[in-house]
Amino acid sequence: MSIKVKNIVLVVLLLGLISMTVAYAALTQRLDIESTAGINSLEWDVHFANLSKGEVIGSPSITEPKLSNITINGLDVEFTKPGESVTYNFDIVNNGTIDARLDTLKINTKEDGIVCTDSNGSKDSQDAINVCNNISFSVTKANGLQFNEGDILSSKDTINAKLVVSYNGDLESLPTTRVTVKGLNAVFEYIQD
Amino acid sequence: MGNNTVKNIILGILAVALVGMTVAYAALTQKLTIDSQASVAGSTWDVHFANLGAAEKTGNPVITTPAKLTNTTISELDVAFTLPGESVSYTFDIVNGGSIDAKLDKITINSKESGIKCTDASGSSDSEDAQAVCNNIIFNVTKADGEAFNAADVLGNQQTINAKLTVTFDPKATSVPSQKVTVDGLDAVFEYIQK
Repeated sequence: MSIKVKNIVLVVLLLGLISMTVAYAALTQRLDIESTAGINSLEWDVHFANLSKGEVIGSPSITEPKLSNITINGLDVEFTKPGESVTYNFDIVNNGTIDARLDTLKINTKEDGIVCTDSNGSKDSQDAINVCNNISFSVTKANGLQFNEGDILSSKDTINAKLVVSYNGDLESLPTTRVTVKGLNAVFEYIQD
Repeated sequence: MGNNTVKNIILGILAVALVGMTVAYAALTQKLTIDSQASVAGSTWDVHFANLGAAEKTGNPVITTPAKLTNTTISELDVAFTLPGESVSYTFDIVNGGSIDAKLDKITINSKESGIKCTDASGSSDSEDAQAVCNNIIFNVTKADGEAFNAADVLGNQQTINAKLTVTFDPKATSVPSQKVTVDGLDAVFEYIQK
């Protein structure tokens, strides 16, 4: 092959190389994905709120309950006749960023946790038994529906609830001496859903 | 820095991480507690009759058997009239000696239209004598001032109502029976309930 031809071939090859390079370069496109990410600080905040004044039926004497973040306590009701009751409305609030689930719920009953004692300290007297049979303690949702383990309380959600203590029965069930009733308790345990 | 130092650093980091995870896990439960108590005052329900007075007579009725009072009854009164206008009355009290207010739920005072029965000596309720007597016997139970009892009247705890019962041979009667006429059913019933 002559020098001229070689030169031409070289130029062609060079041009082809350059072209391929350009073409290759043109056939590449850098695609960039740019993003940012962060991890928000998580908040876990389930608490009581908005305890109402007591709604009373009859004329029971009442020491009003107090609400702190996670307790409602101090309620002391003295009934004098059947049919009396007191009702409090309150909220359970999930103000955190994490959904909550009611893991366990324990509401005491006369069979479990509620203890009636007469003025002599006896739990077995007819007075104590009658009172325990006729005292009622309930904690429900505001519409009267029961709480159930597994109930979800989503982040930023609120459940309206109510607590009712009442004395039922009839005149014959009234004790002749004062009977104290302890253990009118309920415990809600929420966990992360 | 030796290997032990490195290992210690790594162990320290792992420990802190483990504690952190534990704390984070523990923080994601919340117990909410309601704690209350109650009591029921010793109470008594006690509504009863008391303080039956001596018979007060107008005219000369013969009290064959005076009224007797028990806790919840006034009974046995048996009075014989001879002339119109005669009467006998007793005062008594209705007492709420309990700790619970009471309300008069129902009061029934017999009348000749309902409950009072007049029977002549031959046992007839339809004779002229029987009917005349029934038309002229007046049985009443009122408050001491003469006011009527009414359903829903309240008798507060530890309160007393003064009352009286009166049996009268109507002074407006224009005849007397020719034979003895017995009058039964001169009854009144008060039913009190918790207010």
